[in-house]
Parts: sequence; C-alpha cells; structure tokens
Amino acid sequence: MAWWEVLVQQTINGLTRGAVFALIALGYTMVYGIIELINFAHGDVFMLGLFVSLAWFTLLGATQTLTGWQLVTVLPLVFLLTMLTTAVLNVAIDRAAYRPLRRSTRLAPLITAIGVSFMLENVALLWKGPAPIAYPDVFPSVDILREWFGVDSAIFVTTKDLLVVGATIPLMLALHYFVSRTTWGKAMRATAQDRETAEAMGINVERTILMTFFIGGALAGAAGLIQGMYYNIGQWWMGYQAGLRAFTAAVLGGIGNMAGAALGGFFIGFLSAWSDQYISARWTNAIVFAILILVLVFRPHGLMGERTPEKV
Amino acid sequence: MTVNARRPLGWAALVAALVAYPFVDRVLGFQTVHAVSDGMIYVLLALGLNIVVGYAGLLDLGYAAFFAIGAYSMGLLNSPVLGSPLYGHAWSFWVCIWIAAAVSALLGVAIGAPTLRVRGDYLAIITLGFGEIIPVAIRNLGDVTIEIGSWRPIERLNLTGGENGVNPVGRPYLPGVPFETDPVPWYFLILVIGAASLWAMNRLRDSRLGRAWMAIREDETAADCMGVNPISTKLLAFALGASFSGFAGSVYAAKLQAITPGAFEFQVSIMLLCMVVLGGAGSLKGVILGGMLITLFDRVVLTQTTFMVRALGRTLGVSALATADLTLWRWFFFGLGLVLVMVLRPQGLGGRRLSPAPIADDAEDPTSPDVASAPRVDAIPGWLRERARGGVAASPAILDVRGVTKRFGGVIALNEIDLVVPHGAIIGLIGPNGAGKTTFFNVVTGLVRPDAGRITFDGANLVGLRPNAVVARGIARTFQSIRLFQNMTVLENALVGEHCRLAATVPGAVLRPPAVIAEEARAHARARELLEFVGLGGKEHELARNLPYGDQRRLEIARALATEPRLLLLDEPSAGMNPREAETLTDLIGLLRRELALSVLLIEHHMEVVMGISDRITVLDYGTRIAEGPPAAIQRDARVIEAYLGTGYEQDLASRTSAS
Amino acid sequence: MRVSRITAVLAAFLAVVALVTGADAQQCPKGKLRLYTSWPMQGAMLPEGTGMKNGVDLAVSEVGGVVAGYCLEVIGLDDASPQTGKWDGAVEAENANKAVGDPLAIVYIGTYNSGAAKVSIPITNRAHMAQVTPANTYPGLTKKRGAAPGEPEIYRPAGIVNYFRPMPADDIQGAVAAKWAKHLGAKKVYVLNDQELYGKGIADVFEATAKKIGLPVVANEGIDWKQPDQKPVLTKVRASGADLVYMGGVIETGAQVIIRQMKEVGLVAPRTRFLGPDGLLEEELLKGATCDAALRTEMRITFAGLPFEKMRGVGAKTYEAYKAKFGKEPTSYALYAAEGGRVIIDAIRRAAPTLEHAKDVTEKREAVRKAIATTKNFDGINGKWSFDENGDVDYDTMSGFKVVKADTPVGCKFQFETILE
Repeated sequence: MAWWEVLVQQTINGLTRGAVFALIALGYTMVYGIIELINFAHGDVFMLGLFVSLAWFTLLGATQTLTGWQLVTVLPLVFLLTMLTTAVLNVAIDRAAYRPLRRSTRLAPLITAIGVSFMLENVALLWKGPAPIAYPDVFPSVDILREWFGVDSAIFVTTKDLLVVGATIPLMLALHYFVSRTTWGKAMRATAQDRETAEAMGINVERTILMTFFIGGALAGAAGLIQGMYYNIGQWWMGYQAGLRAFTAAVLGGIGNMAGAALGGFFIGFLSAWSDQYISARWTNAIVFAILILVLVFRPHGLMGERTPEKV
Repeated sequence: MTVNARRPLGWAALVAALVAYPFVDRVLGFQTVHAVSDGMIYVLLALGLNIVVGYAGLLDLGYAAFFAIGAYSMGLLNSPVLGSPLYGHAWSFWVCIWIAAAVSALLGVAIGAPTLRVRGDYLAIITLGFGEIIPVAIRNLGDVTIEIGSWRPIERLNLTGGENGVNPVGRPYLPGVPFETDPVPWYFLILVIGAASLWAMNRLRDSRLGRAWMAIREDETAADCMGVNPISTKLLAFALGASFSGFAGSVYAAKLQAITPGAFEFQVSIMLLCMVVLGGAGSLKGVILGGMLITLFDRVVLTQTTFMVRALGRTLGVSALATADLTLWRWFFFGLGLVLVMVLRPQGLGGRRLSPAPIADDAEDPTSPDVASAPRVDAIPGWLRERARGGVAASPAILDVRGVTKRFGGVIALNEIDLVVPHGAIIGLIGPNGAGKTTFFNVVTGLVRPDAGRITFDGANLVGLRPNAVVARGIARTFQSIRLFQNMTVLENALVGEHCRLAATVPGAVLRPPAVIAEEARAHARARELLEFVGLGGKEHELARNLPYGDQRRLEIARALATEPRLLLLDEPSAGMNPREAETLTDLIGLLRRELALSVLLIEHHMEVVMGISDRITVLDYGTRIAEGPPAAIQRDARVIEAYLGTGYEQDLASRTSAS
Repeated sequence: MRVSRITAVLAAFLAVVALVTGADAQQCPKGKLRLYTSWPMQGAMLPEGTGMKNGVDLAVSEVGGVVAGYCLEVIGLDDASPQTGKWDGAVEAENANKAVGDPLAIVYIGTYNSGAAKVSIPITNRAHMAQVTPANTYPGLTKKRGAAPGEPEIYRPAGIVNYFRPMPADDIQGAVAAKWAKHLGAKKVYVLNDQELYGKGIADVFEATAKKIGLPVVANEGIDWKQPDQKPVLTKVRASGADLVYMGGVIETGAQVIIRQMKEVGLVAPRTRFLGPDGLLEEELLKGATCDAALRTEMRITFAGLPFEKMRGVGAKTYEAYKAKFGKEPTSYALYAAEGGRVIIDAIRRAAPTLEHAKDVTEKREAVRKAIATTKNFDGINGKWSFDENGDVDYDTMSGFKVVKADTPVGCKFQFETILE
C-alpha cells in the first residue's frame, strides 16, 4: 500500500469508528443538556442495543446474510424494534433511578447511573456469557471499488462502511430537524436552558425529559445495531468502554451541544485511527486523552460549546 | 445531654474494639484481618477523594491515578528492580512514604493546573483523562525505544517495570515488629496512618482552608468575590487529596510486595467515587462507612447471603434456591444497592440531612419577631469600629472610575463611564433594566475586565486584579440574586467573609499552633458579633438555605462586612423586601456610613430608599451615563424621566417609581 | 452515638463471620489436610476457573478424598476483585495469607495469571508451603531465561524452591512457535500483544527467536484490547505486507476481535495467516471469532504438552475420567490441575512418615514441599517426567493445532496438526 492509500484507509476507519462514537455521544449530550446528568448507564444501553438487535434478528429468523428484499424489509424492521426496545428501557431507567433524584444534589444521580450500569452489565453477562460473542454477518460486505467500479485498489471500501455512514448521518439529520423544528424539540431546548422558566411557560417538563430519554435510548439502540453489524463482535462490558469514549466525545464537542457531540465523535474516531497507524496502538488512549485535555485547556467549553457568561 | 455524656465512653469502646479486633479474629480463626486491612486502604483513598469531591466539590473521575502514583513512587524508590539506592535500608519505607505523598501532591497540582480555566464537568473529564493516561504511561514506559531513522539513542529502557510491575517492594522496619505475612502489624500500621489522616482531615475541614473549599463548592464566583482565591484553593484541594492517596498507595505497595499497572484502572476511580457519595460526600464518618460497606460487600455479604439462601432453599425444599449462586449476580446487587441507597438517602448514608428549602416567602410573615428590628448603634461590633478608624485616606475619592468601557460582542454594555465615590459617601446607581448597573459592579470588583478605562481605589489601580484581590484591598459586594453558600451554616458564611483577613496556612490548620487557635477564636467571636448586629443572633448554626428571605439578605450584608471593607457595593439590597424592611435597611446603611465611615455604592430600584439616603446619584441607560447629581436634581432631570418612562411623561419621577 | 452504632455493626459483622467458619470436621484417622486453590472464579474466567477446580476435585476423588490416613479438603478461593472483575494482587495476597495462616493448609494450588503468582509465591515461600500452578507459564517465575532482572530469586525470600509447574514455560512455547512459523513458510511476521504479562512475555520470546532464526519481524505492537474496533491496527498490518500475524494474548484480551476483523480487512490466507499461543486454545474463542474467520486466516495455535486426544496412558484415562465425571470437555488447563493434584497427593503419600512426627505445621509443609521437589519419573498426562531444580518439568513437548471444519455446534474445532519439539 502506498502511503496515501494507508492514509485514506485509516481515515475511512476513523470515519466509521467516529460515526458510532458520535451516535452514542448524542444520547449522552441530550441527557446532559436537559438534566445535567453524566449518564453512565448510557453506554450499557448501547451494549444492550447490540444484544437486543441480535435477539430480534434471531426471532425473525434472519441470522444469515440478508439479501435483496430482506435489506429493505427485515433491516428497517430490526432497526425500529431495537430502537424501540432500548428507548423504552432508557425511559424506564430514568423513571426508576433518576427521576426520584431530580431535586437532589448532582452527585446522587451520578451514582445511581453507575449503579444501573452495573446492573445492566450483570444482566448482559448472565444472558450472553462472559466471552465475546460473534454477531452474524447480517449485512452483506461487498468490496465496492473492486466489484462495482472495477478499480483494483489497495483501499477497501465495503458496503458495510456505507451502512455506518448511511445510517448514522440520516439519524443525526433527523435528530437535528426534530430538535430545531418541532414543538417537542423546542420544548426540549427550552427545558435544557431553564427548567423552571420552561415549566412556567406551560411546558410539561417531565414529559420532555421522558422524550429526551426515549430518543437518547433509541439512538443508543441504533448505535448498538450498527456496531454489531459493522464490527461483528459484542461483549458484556463493551458499553463501559464505548460510553467512556462517547462521553469524552460529548465533552470535547461542548457538552449539551448536539453538533458538538457529533463533531467530537468524529474527531476522536479520526484521532485514534491515525494514532494507531502513525504512533502506536499502545499509546492511542493516552494520546486521545492528552489532546482532549489540551483542547479543554484552550477551549474550556469544548470545540463548539458557547461560553455563557455567568449571570451575577 | 445524654449524647454528650455517652460520647467519651463510645470513643473508648471504639478504640478498644479496633485494638482488640485482630486478636479476637486470631483466637476465633476468622482470618478477616487481611481483608479488613485492604479495605482500610481503600477507605483512606476514599477519604482523600472526599477532600476533592466532598469538600471542594470538584468531581474527580480519575482519582486512581493518584493511587497509582503513590504506589509506584514507593515501588520504584524502594525496590531492587530498577536499582534504587534507597532500597535495603531500615528507614527506607518511612522516608519513601513521605516522598510518595509529596510526589502525589505535586501530581495533584499538575492535574489541578488545567482547572485554572476549566469548570464543572469539563474538569471531571480532565481528571478522567489523567486517570486513563497514567496507567497507559506506566505500562508503556517499561519498554521505551526511541528510534530516529536507524539511530536508537534509547533502546528498551525500563522506567516503570512495564506490564511486569514492580516486585518486590521494601517492607517497613520497626524493631521487633515483623511486617511479613502476619496481617496484624499491617493492620495497626494502616490504622495509625488512617487515624492520623482522619485527625488531619478533621482539622482541615474546620479551618480557614476547609471553609474556603466548601465556599468554592457552593458558589465559586461568590467565593471569589468574598476574598477566596479559587485557583490556589482548588489546587490545594487536589494536592492534599492526592497526598493522602500517596500514603495509601505506599502502604498498598509495601503490603502487597508487588504492583502491576492493571490495579489502577478507571473502575477503581469509580468505586472510590461510589464510596464517597454512598457514604455522604463531605462527611468523614459517612465516607468510612461507605468505604467499608463497599469493600466488604463482596467478600462477606454476598457469600453469606448465598449461604443463607441455600440453607433456606434446603429447608423449604426449593431446589432453585438451594443451588442458587448469588455471586453470579454480584454486580447486579451491587448496582441495585447503589440505586436504592441513593434514592432513599440522596445525601448519602452519613451525609447531613437536607431539610427542604422554604417554599413561602417568610419575609412577609409579620409574626417573625426579629424582622425589621431597627439596627442599634451600640450593637456595632467594636473591632469593626476600630478598623474603620484605622484607615488613612490616600486620595480625595475612595473610588475613582474614569472612562470605563465594556463591550460584549457588538453590544456596548458600558460606554466611557465616569463615577467618583468620595470617602464616606453614599452614591446611588440607578437606571432601567439592562442599563449596565450590575456590569459596572462586575467591572469594579474584577469579575469582568474593562476594555478601556481606569479604576483607582484609594489611589491604587484596580484594573486587572482578580475579585479576591479586590476584596483584599477593601471592596465588598452583595449580589442582586442572593448568592449565599447555601449548604454552609450562617456562622460559616460569615467566617468565609473573614477569609482574606486570616493567615492560617495548611500546616497551621493541621497543627494548630497557639497563633492559629487565637486567630480562629477571634474570627468566630467577630462573626458572632456581626451576626448579632444584623439581627441573626441565635441562628448561627442554621444552614443558609433554610433562612427566610429577609434573613438571607442580611446575612449577605454581614458576610460582606466580615471582609472589613472600606467600600461596600450593594446590588439591589431591598429587592423583594416589604416597605418596613426596606426602611430598616435604609437605617442600617446610614448607620454604617455614620459610625464606620463606610463608603457605599448602591444599585437600587426602590426609589424611596435610593433617594432617601444617597448623597449623589448616577443614572445609566444603555451603558451610558445620562445624568449625575444630587437626588433632587435627578428627580427633575428630563432625560432620566424619559429613560424610565419613555417620552411624553412629564410627571414627577419619584411618585411613579416608588411603586415599581 | 454514631460511634456506638459503628461498634454494633462491627460486632454483628464478626458474629456473621463466626457463623460460617465454624464448619464441622470429619473423622479421619490422622486428621485433615487442606489444599487451597486460588484463581479467578468470575466473569470471563468462570469456565476455565471451574474447569481447573474440577481437575483438582478429580484428583482428590480418585483417592476417595483420603491419602495415607489424612482426609483431603479442597478450599476454592477466587482471586478476582469485585472492584475490577479481574485478578487482583490484593485479593491474591489475601488468599495466600489465608492459606498460610490456616494450620491445616498443606499446599497452595494456583494461580492462573502469572502476575498473581508473583504476589503469592513469596508468601507461600516464607511459610515453606509448596505452591503448584496448573497454568502459569511466565518463565521468570522459575528461571532466568526470558525473565526480568532479579527473577526468580525475588520470589524465594526463604531461599528454597517452593513453586512447581507441571507444564513447560513460555520461553519454550514462544521459541517453538517462531520456529513453527518459519517452517510454515512465513516470510514476514507482525507480532501483536495484549500488553499483559503473559501475552507480552510470549510475544517478546517469539520476536527474539524469530529474529535469531532469520524470520523478519515488522513490529511487536501492544494493542488496546478493550477496543472492539481493531481495524486501524490491522490496516497497519496490511500496509506492512506481513504474511503472518502472531498474537500474544488470552481469550479475554481481544484475540477474537483481531481474528474476526482480519477477515474484514482482507488479511486472509494465503496472503496472511494467524498464529497464537495456548492462551487462545479455548472453544469460546471460536465462538467469538467465528469459524469463518478462523478458517480463512488458517488459524494455528501452539500448546504446551500434548492434545487431549493424542494423550496415551494416564493422559487418555484422565481425559475420559474428566468427561465422565463432569459431562463436558475439559478446559485447557483442567487436566494440568488434575496433574497438579496428583503430584501433591503422591507427595503427601511419600511424606506421610515425616508428617506424623512433624513438630509443627511448618515442618509438615516442608516435608510435603521436599517430597514434591523430588518428584521423579512421574507418570503424567504427557508421559513420564521429573521436576528439575527450579521446579520446572524436564520435558518440552509442544503440539501445534489448526482450526478445521467440524460437525460441532460451533462448526469448527482445534485439530491437532503436529508435535513440535
């Protein structure tokens, strides 16, 4: 492979990796924006999304590579079912573990979030066992450059890469539309800015929070499904790690800021892929966090976060 | 009181139990001393984290990094593996444990340094980042090769032991005490270190520094404006919190005789955080309880419960129960426990119970006896009078502001404002909402840096000083929306005000030499006198958040007075007060000026108040000074009337605005 | 008030502990001896941990739980910590100290992770208690070759050899793997490791040997195994043009992901193949990595000792007995645990006369330790062997496995390919 082919390939790797981070980070940042909670359980909802989607595929009898009409029927159906399942789960988590603590200190819901995270991991451990499980090749993998365009290149771009980008970007755009254009979205933004005033203006704050958790959970479920189809491997503790990266992405972009979370996800994706190639995989984690710290020192409110002057 | 009478007895029983425990354990053959000793190391770590999270309110998600640094400092200095010259002496451990604490503290400052600019959860992610970087660095620095082309200046250099870890680590030496496999000497070593740490933490909490930490936790900006330097205070929290983990890490390394990089990962930080919050952030007893519960949960509770469930299953003949293995569900139960405890007791097991904040505005309650009681001249604290007499004027005006301009983006918030406060004068600052009055206060107190202009206080330049430095010069302020330290007591709030007039250092706070004891006693006495003066006598130990509204306003003034100011900036002090209270406030301000020669700059919407006591009034509108003069002239000024009411109204301003 | 409540909690805790420890004692003519086992018994390690415990139980049950008049009791400990879910030095130290502090304890069986052994060996060594591992293969625990400075003496504070392993160490396995790789026709190798003691150690030996025998090694790179996406690293491998990937690791540290994604980035035979050490020899690995990927990368594994189905004599009998007793295939180290148990039982039998006249528990342990150290021509699962002066076995039989299609639920299996010497 020529040097530029390596660079292009690693950039594609970074793009797909970042897309998944970005999807998870969106859920993080939405919840943070609205109730200022670092939702540690979010990564585990993502992990369950992977397992749940596998269960739906199995239930529908579609564990072989999907072909033709199945791609436009079974796949969207599983997307829908998975997102619905994790969305409901996320709402249930909020009701049980966060809602009673709405008026409490910031630390209390943080700890219940960690508690819920442990519970979800334990459930997944007993459900799927301790070892990594294989996620079947439900999505066909076709070498696009070679098979569609007849170009003999060292660069691999497969239909799976397209899937990740093709599923993530529309989801983000839909979310953007929802938040900026619909009544629900406006209620969410109002609640995020000032809960009391929003309440005074007649916004049903609790229902808005419920909606936020619902959407956040749905996105985590979608991310889990995409992760499963793309990387084909799942493990009970993967949510912890993914959540950590996604949380980092959300903060990097400016926590509470949707576009920032997406940007942060892609930023970390590219950064870690390039670091794997050009420095060393064993240093990647340190490099990602070192750059994160540098960014925050120079932009204390993240890449896209606005500095809101404190009202005195 | 019975509780007090039983207290010494309780302590004696506790000490006896702690001393007797390992011997009882040995006689009965329980073999739990090792587990308990290890648990105590984690408790010590949690106590260190409590300084950062519980006292200073800084969320730290990477505290295991300090644990690692402590353990590795001890490991690398006191081990033959990397050839440390300190290894092999009788005194090695006792020296290295202090070095480890110092190294951890230094790292605490290094990690805390980015906090100079970063706040809140952004700070949390920085600590998390360090928590991730440190283990990676330790792992990778065990095998360093630098390659530039074909030149290899450094090849396979081992700095940390890499994935091999460090092994063995030198043991402590005490004549006649075998620090080997018998856990009992270790137990007592950790007990002594833990007790000493607790003693030090307890003293730190009740010191000038401890109050500053809590003030930062409650409201960083308000603390800054009361003379607390947030930067040094936060750095000290990180440094001291880390130093305790240096001790804990050292003992861990020496007891275990082997350390590996895998023992200090993110999960450890999370567990420690759980211990702190579960027990009750800020409460020493709570954190100890939380730490012990969590460390013993797995080793004792779960296996015991399995044992009992199986016994129950056998008795009842339910085979599912008889073969149940609850240890498979350990994370589930642990998580469930965390959720339940936090939902039932959000303040933690040992945390201070927070009574709900008052819903009704108690200031309107006529039955409240001390509301609106007029301030008495003889109640003015004597020391405050002395301070007032001590000041010698260096310039004709105490505050002289010339041409101050401040822009926010394209908006000009202040446009070349001039304002002079003569010694001992009361100057009113009025204007419609958004006129820039509060921005002006923020510029004077250093919260906002002006784009242009000069501010001199008693002849010395103020521009560029941080708020806490401005307070030290002698300017105190109150806030438009009350900004008390909600979860601190009334007395503590007043004591924070005295912060910049006290001198106790960290060693002073821990060791309490006579000078510090005297200083603290004086500070407490002064705070009580001040509270008595503003009418809060007898409420010293109530939490600020539980005070009725009017009391909160008065506490803000008391807190500002505690900084021993020569100029007082009051931002709408009568907001939300009824006419009677407002009248009392007017009396108070007049009294302060008359008796203490205090200069006052007053933002006020309550026209009766401002017209009644101001010597001169400055009117702002859209960031521009539109009028300046004595109250009578201002009331007749056409531009002022226009600014307040719009064109077309010719009525007397005072009669209108008094109702606003 | 609060203080007395804490005292009450403490008292209650002590009472609960007393409840458990007051276990009854069986009547045995010469009393009871306890064998302590210590390895992770939770998370991903539960199957292997259970397998090894089964192995020890098998050995004990073969003699009916009684040897030379002494009843044997196996106490199974878990050295994983609740804080991290993996083996933890503090827990391992506590386990070892528990064993040493128990006057009935005679031998310590463990650990699984070599890192944990570093903690417990010095503790058992001071107490003159023999420690037999069913799984540690890190060389430095017993010998200088492939060891860090100061090893193995730092594990022997009492100046005696108390640590024994009935299987060859990684310095042999890594070297054998490198030779095999060359024999298989590899021209350029990319070595990956999981940055843990075992994986990095064996990868280092592989790298050194490969270079010595003229097999170029592109890099020996540590990976972040917690990352479910290894495509960037594998893209790097692809760009390097290596035709063999050697991965030092165990099944919990990401080998599944590497193999699975090698297929995804086009690193498949004949272009690139996969080789790994015996830490990957678990059926769980094939489930996670998928047979498709394992077959297409022509996955091969080295293993210390003989494959179960190639064992003759004692080995074959043990294999069958295990399957009959526990109803499933033994895990990789289960039979070594059984072997360890038998070595201990044999040693107790030989030391029985000394045991009776021993003054104290240390003398008893010393007698058994000596008996284990002098194990000669033991009829083991890999044939007859003896312990050398370091506590290592004197055979270095290795076997090579290849993944092949099979009619099993997984769809493929590790099949013995060759004996490696």
